[in-house]
Parts: sequence; C-alpha cells; structure tokens
Amino acid sequence: MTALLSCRDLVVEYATADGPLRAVDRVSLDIEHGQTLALVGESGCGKSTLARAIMGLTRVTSGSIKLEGRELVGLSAREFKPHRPSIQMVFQNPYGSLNPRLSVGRIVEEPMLIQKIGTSETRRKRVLDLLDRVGLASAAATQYPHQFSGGQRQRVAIARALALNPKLIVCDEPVSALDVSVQAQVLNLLVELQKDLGISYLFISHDLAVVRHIAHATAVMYLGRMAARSTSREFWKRPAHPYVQALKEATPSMEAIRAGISGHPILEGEIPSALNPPPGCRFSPRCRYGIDICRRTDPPLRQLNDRSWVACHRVTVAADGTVEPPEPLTVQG
Amino acid sequence: MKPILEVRDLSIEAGPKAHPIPLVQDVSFSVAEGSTLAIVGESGCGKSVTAMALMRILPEPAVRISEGEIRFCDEDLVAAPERRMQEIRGNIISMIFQDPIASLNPIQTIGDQIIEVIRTHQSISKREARKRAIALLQSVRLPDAEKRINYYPHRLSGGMCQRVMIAMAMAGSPRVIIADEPTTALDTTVQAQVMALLRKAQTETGTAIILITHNLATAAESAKDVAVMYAGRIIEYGPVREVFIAPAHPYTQGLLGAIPDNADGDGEIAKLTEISGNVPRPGTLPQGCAFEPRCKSAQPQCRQQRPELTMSGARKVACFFPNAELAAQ
Repeated sequence: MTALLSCRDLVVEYATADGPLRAVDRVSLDIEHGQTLALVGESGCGKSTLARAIMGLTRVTSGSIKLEGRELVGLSAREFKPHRPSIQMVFQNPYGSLNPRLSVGRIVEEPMLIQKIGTSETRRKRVLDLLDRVGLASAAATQYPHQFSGGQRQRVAIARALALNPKLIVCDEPVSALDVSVQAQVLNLLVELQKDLGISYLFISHDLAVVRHIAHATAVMYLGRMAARSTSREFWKRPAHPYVQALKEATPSMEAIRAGISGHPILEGEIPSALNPPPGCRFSPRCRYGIDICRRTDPPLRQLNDRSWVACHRVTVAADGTVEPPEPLTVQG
Repeated sequence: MKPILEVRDLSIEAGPKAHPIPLVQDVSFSVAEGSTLAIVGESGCGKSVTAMALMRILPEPAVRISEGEIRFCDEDLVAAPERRMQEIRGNIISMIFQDPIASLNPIQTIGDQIIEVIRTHQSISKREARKRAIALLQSVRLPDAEKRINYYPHRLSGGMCQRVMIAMAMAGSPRVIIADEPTTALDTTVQAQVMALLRKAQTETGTAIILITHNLATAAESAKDVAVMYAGRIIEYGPVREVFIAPAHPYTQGLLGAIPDNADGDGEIAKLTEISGNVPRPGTLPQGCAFEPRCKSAQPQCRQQRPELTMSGARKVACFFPNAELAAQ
C-alpha cells in the first residue's frame, strides 16, 4: 500500500538579505494512512516550513510532495484548491487561530462555505455533529471564542479541521500552549478521532513525552536536514543518532526520576545559523562522536533496517542486524 | 538546615479594596541556603504572583499583599520600605524571568546593562565593573564574552540572552534567586544547559533557588522540595521525590497521570488520565475544596468545607481523603 503523503528530496529556500536560506534541505518522508508521524526538532530546524510546504502555503524550491500519488508541488492556488479538503491544519495558539468576531458555529462552518459544500441546513447539522464529536455542547455554536478556555478553543480548531473530512491533519504544536491537565484531554481526543475516522496526523512538537505517546513514526530534523527517521515506536528507547540521544537526555523525564537517575551529559553549543551551516554533518560541531569525515562530508540519510533511517557516519549495523550507536571517542594524551 | 527565606501565610488580592479578588491565599513555604524549592502549578494558580510578591514588584495598588510575612533572616520584607527593597532587589534576592529577550533592554548593550546592575549595588569604577561583567559572562559560559559584551540583545539567541539574564541575576551575589519559568521559552537542549548553569551557580555560591515552573519533570530534576499550587493555594508540599513518586493529593495525582510517560511499545496508544474540566478563575472559587468540582474522589464533605494544609509524614497535604496508600504508611 502506498503512503498517504510522501515527500521526496524536498527543498524550500527563502530569499533573505544575506542570500538564500535553505530552511528545508532535501527532506524525504512518508505519512501512512491512519497513522501519526511526529516531526521533532528545535527552533530553526525547518519543521514549520516543512508543514507549510505540505499545506501548500509556501513555495517549494524543488522536490516532490505526493498526496495518494498525485503531485502537489507546482500547482497554482486554483489547482490546489480541490486538494485542500484532504489536508487541514490545527495551529499552536488557539487564541490567535480563531477569528474573535465569528461565532464558533460560523468558524466551524467556514471551510464548508469556502468549498461550497451542502446547503445551510445540512451545514448547520454538520456543525452540531462536529461540535459533539470534539466534546462541546451544541450551545457552543452561538458563542464566541473569548467565551472558551484554551483547551476548549483547541477543540473548536479541531472541529474546524474535521469539517471537510480530511485525510491528513497537520498539527503544529497543538498542545504546547495548554496546561498539562488540559493537554491530556486534547491528546486523548486526537487519538480517539484517529481510531474512529482513520485520519493521519503530521504532529509537529518539541515535547518528547507527547511525541513518544502519540506517534507511530518519528522524524527528527536538525538545521533543515533529516537526522533520523523511524517507523517504530521503540525509536526513543535506544536512539542511534547522537543528536536524537542528546534530545532524549536533555528532556527531563519522570521515568528518570523514579529510577533515581540524574546528571546527564549536556549537549554544548547552540544550533548554528541556517544561513551559514557548518560543512560536513551539520551536527558535527556539537557532536561528541565527531571524527574527520563528519566535518568533511554531509552524511546521507541511509536505511539501517526495515524501520529506521539515520544520517550519521558513525552509526553501524552489526552482523545480526542490531543498530549500534557510535562508540565514544577515546581521549588521547 | 536553617531556612534563608521564609514565607508565612502570604495572601495576595486584586481589585477594589471593598470587594477584593483573592489571587493567593495563606501560602507558606521556606527555602534553605544552597537548596531549591520548586513551585509548580498550571496557569492562573498564583505561582508567578507569589514570585512577584517576594520581590515586592506587584503592580500595586491594583494587586497587593493583603496578609502574611516574607521573612529574610530577621527582616519582614512585607513591611520593608521601598528604599530597603531597592537594596534587596538584585543584591540579596534577584529574579530571572521567562522571556529573556523581552527582559533585556533592546537599546542598550548587554555589557552596559550588567555594568548598571553591578554599579547600582557596589561602588566600583566603570573599568572594574566591566571586568567583573566579563567574568560573569564567562562564568555563565557565554562564548566570546569579551566581544559579545558590546552586543545589543537582538544579536544573541534566546539561550544566550537567558545566560546574560543569569549573569545579571548573579551580579550582586544574591542569597536567593527566583527563577520564573526560566527555560520555558528555550529549546530542549538549551533548556538543559540553562538548568545545569543554575545548578552550577548554586553549588558555587550556595544561593537558594525558588524555581517556578509548570513542568513537573523540570521541577523533579532540579528541586529538593516542591510546593504544588492550585487556585491560589498550596495543596501539597514536601520532598520532591516523595511527592512525585507517591502523590497524595488527587490534583497532584491527576497532574502526574496526565503527563505522557513510558509510552513506547508497538501496542495501542494508551489513554492518558484526564482531569476533567478547567482551572477555575480567581474570584469564582467554590465554597469547599477548590478542586472538588474536578476531583474523582470528592465526597459531600469536600463541597462544604475547605481542607487545611496539614502535616502527613514528611509532607503537607490539603485534602480530606488523600491517597489511601499514604494513609496506610
């Protein structure tokens, strides 16, 4: 079965005063039907640009994005419109992404109005169904966004995203603005909707705890490049790529507290500017396993086994197929 | 160890004096030299207002301390005159804010801003102050400190700005640092760097840290004690490991259950424990326990009476029916 959405060698460049900035650099990924792909990375890694490219909101420099085999790159706005119902989006900030002057009912109805679907009667019924679906009372339809809490607003945003029966919802940090107790409600809702409706999610997040919970597959980006990709939920257990290891170690986890572990090695330095990326592997200046080749040649994303890909010169695969993370360098002198 | 800062029955209110809205009620905690107390809670629980009260930087008279004491050594800061508070701020108690970029003056170089802090509290020459500023920036491991001291904040990343803020907070060798969500605006790997830096500063100078955060895992990693706040009150307070491994209050239990954890494995995605409903807004608190409307184990008593924070082993809990396991111990 082919993937719902696949990107191949996607490049997005922005023109800046200091020359072209390659925000996304030859990235490939697949999102399977009814599954969640988590896209993880720190600021400036290109994850939001990639999401915008998939939404058709930014010009793709080269590469391809295929939705069920149909090419989306190079389409004009008019040609893209029939594809829009299939890909919808939920934004990070539920305060900024809902028009404060429209009633909730109108907000949820709007995608159907734009796509000219149904009569006002059928749309009204659909709005009430959707609100019920996301756990809001039908009275919500006549209320305005300011009357709702952050978690409830995010439910409205999800109802709006569902209005056109999408195949894929791009969720850009959908729970980062929410309190922990409310975050769990929204995550549970997303998982439940996926089970019932078979929707796929591209779930962008920097919160590893959330990602580990919700994702079937994971892609980690660093400075515009794909560092590692895996379709296994075991991905975070024993990460092979040094950056993925560092991300895991940098995240305080309750697991570690229960086990009484403290004091992880701390990744030094910061993410370099994408305008002037370091030569060779982009992570090499911060990598504790870096050797000469890492500073000279950019490692390609290579397949390790049927479920994982990694862009690192130092990751090896043993004869029995187990993936070996890099060995620490022996300190000389 | 003897507490260096002790807060007793602190209450903070807002709005007109005739009909005040309580924001924080009867909050008591203390922090000892060289140790860290984490105050955790969700938005609107009163944790940031409490931090501002400790520095006496509440937007008075709109928001004000209505009752209680903030004792530093033998002094009550609630009663201290503004002149004395100016000596204390930055010198004895200093603060690190959530948004490092917004906390720095954009039209002054970072060097000038640190020098200003140093010269406010110590009568030394500009040249001396500059040397000290560079040393401070080096101690927070800002790369190229000698060059970057002449930079304006916009040329630094968020992580670097937070290093500058920490350098500034350390400038007066404070006895207490209040860090209000110091890593929330930063990237994961930079968060770990900043927390490590705070711990390093703490071991070197013996300063006490009050860490205010919504992230339970961050609190668990850095603090010795934790105070969990809900709707303006502390509802559970005790040693961090104990509280997080065996939470006694249903709210603490709910918070910990709501964090996705140990979710690896190819099976079905498990359902997270939810706390139903929303955090109540100040001024709309129920008569009994503030958590009662959202509580799974609420009893009729919880609706009528508000549970006091009472000692239970090494910790304090404000609940009539705390975790059964704990009661058995």
